[in-house]
Amino acid sequence: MKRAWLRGAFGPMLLCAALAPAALVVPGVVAQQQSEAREDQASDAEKLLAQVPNDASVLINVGYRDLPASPDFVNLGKRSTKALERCLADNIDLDARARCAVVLEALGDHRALATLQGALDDWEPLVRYRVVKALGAVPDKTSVAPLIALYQRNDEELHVREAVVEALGNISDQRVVSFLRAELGKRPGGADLRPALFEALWQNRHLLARDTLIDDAKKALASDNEALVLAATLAAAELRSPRHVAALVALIDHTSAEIRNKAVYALGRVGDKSATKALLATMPNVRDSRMLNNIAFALERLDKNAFYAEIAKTIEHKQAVIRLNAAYVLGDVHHAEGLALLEKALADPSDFVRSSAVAAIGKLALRGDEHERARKSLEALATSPSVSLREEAIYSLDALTPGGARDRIHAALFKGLDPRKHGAAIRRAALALGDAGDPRVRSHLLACLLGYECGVERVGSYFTRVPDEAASGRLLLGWTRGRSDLTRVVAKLRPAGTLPIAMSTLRDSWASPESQETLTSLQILGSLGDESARELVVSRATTDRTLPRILGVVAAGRLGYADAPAKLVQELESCAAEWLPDFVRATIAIEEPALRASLDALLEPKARDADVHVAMAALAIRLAWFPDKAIYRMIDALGSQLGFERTLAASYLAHNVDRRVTWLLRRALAREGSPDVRDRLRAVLDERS
Amino acid sequence: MRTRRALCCLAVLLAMNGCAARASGAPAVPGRDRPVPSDVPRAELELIVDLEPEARCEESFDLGLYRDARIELVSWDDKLRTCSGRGITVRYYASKLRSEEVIALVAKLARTARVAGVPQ
Repeated sequence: MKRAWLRGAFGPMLLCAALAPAALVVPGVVAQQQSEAREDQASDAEKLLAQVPNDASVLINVGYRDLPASPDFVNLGKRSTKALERCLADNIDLDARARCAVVLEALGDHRALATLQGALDDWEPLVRYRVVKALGAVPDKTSVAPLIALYQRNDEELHVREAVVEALGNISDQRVVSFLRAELGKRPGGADLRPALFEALWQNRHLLARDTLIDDAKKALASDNEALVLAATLAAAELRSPRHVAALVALIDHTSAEIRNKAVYALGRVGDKSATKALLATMPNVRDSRMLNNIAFALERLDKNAFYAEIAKTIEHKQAVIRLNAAYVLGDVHHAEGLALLEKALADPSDFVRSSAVAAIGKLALRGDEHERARKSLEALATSPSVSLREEAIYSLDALTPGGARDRIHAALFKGLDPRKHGAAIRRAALALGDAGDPRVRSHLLACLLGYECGVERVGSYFTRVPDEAASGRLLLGWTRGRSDLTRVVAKLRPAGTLPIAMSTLRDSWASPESQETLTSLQILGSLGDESARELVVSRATTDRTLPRILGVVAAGRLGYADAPAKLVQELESCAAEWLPDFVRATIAIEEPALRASLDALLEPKARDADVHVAMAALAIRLAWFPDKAIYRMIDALGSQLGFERTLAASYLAHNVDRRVTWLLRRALAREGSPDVRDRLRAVLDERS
Repeated sequence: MRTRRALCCLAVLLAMNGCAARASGAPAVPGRDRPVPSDVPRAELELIVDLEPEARCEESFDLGLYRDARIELVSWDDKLRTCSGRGITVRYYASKLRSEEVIALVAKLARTARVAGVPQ
């Protein structure tokens, strides 16, 4: 029986054994075939891509699966616009049409306007949605009527209608304003689009009479839609109209914490004393620190006396956490009037409250005699057995002492604490000393940076302000080991040996033009100013990939390549709108005065280009290099008739943190006659403060 | 009669003017910071100021001083968080303003102001 079973089983076993190698091979063959198919597909896509700039019809009969990826189209920039337009109009595959529309949105090319408007009739909601988004990226008055017509169709999908509202918000036109206001006034039937409608209206606020705008915001504040109410509280904070006070007061006890806080913040910005009573009545019942702080800051703006009377009670509250917050608020309003209250809090039984009071005293703007008084109070705590109290006292003394108290921080906090127990306090001391340019903390900060414990944005500038050969060498080594975050520091320090390493890194990564190695070595080579790298860099700048190409031209220009200014302007004109912020960041890195001057001459007219994407990018570069000259055009952009231009201008301004620009913005605010532009400038300055 | 006709004409003209302004939708060009030609002479004055202690003392001072269009730029030292003993450099249009006038303008906005390098 057993033998019979063996005999019966032997045949199949033998077959299995015979087939086993084949079974192992087959998956490998399949994988290889799949891989080859992918390669073929990739090479087909590459061939297709190569034809895109020259043959507008090349994408008509290509299915979604065979279509090159969106980033590949974006890399071609506006050279792909025509083919994408034909794809959108004539390709039968809905996903392909949708992808073409997505790329057209990224390109922001005005030339596609008519095609996009025509595609609003597409049968597929996905395509219409993408087309509407693309139209939002090329705001034009001729799109108003077709977009409104699309919105008003009863059979349109909700997400498409919402996208229409957003796109209309980018087009500043009185028809848009009338439409948005009319829709906002309607009772929502199904889904409530009022928050989007208000947002779009707010983007065009410069087209409304101020009274009308205030009325609309007032209605929105009283709405039953929370998202709309929240948007309206932000609007009220910017408009600062006393007519919003009653509506904002009514929101102080709203069920949404976000709305409560924003309403109180807005009341502070409005600054109307009539809100004082309501805020005072709310303060004793508050149950979270954010709300307490917001009320306190608002009260301080509205009625200083009432604020100090109330905060005097709060800082003696039976709950320590409330006393702690009261002390924090007193420090953050900076007024010397808070000193007496904070001195009282120094005797609080809670170490946390005392620490908060000590830190607050260090923030006060004190006069001569008050200075002395505060210093004496703090001295007594600078040797406290409580480390946190001692720490805060020493930092506050540092703030109140002319010339600071660096040695004390070094001795008591950096060197005087046990690293096993007080690592965070020692780190804080090192950072504070680093900010003051103290060379004694170099090793600590270097280890912190190389060990990923300190961010380069926090400590990077220390190494350029307090340069050291050994530290620079180790930072270079860090960069070669893949720390691309160190690129800017290395580019500034230019340690010995950087040139051959950066050139080798660029050569080594030649097959991967978009790798960090390529991108960062181009930045470093550009900063070195050594012309021997020019040929290599110019060669890299011929890649079809956008970012390495731009960085390559920038680096080549810095190394004396004469064609760089013209090539950079070509890039500005032809690259996708989506890439322009990167273009700006890359170009701003140019430091050579001659190159800046020659490029600036080309950028000046571009800053007034009809294409607002191009205009604002050119302007952002000019503002970074020559703020005194460029600021006027930037203020005009903030006051543009086109809301989209205003938004882009504000966005580029937010990325420019130069203090000189802040000073120039203050000058502009002081002299601005338009209330609307004043509001914008105020908001920009608030963000920078 | 002639007076009435003249008043009517005036009213019509005013109304037309109002309509035209409304139809154009363009607001009157507001005042705005504008560049001053580079050949207008400038001068600079370095001062030490004590400002009114408040959260945004530097900004409040700037907003006050820039109301005078004869001031071109106020540059600040790096002592960002303090309101006292701040060093500023005021650039102004020398053909329109004298240094003593600059000091007087600054003194109105600061608690104390003195020329840098001159002992208190």
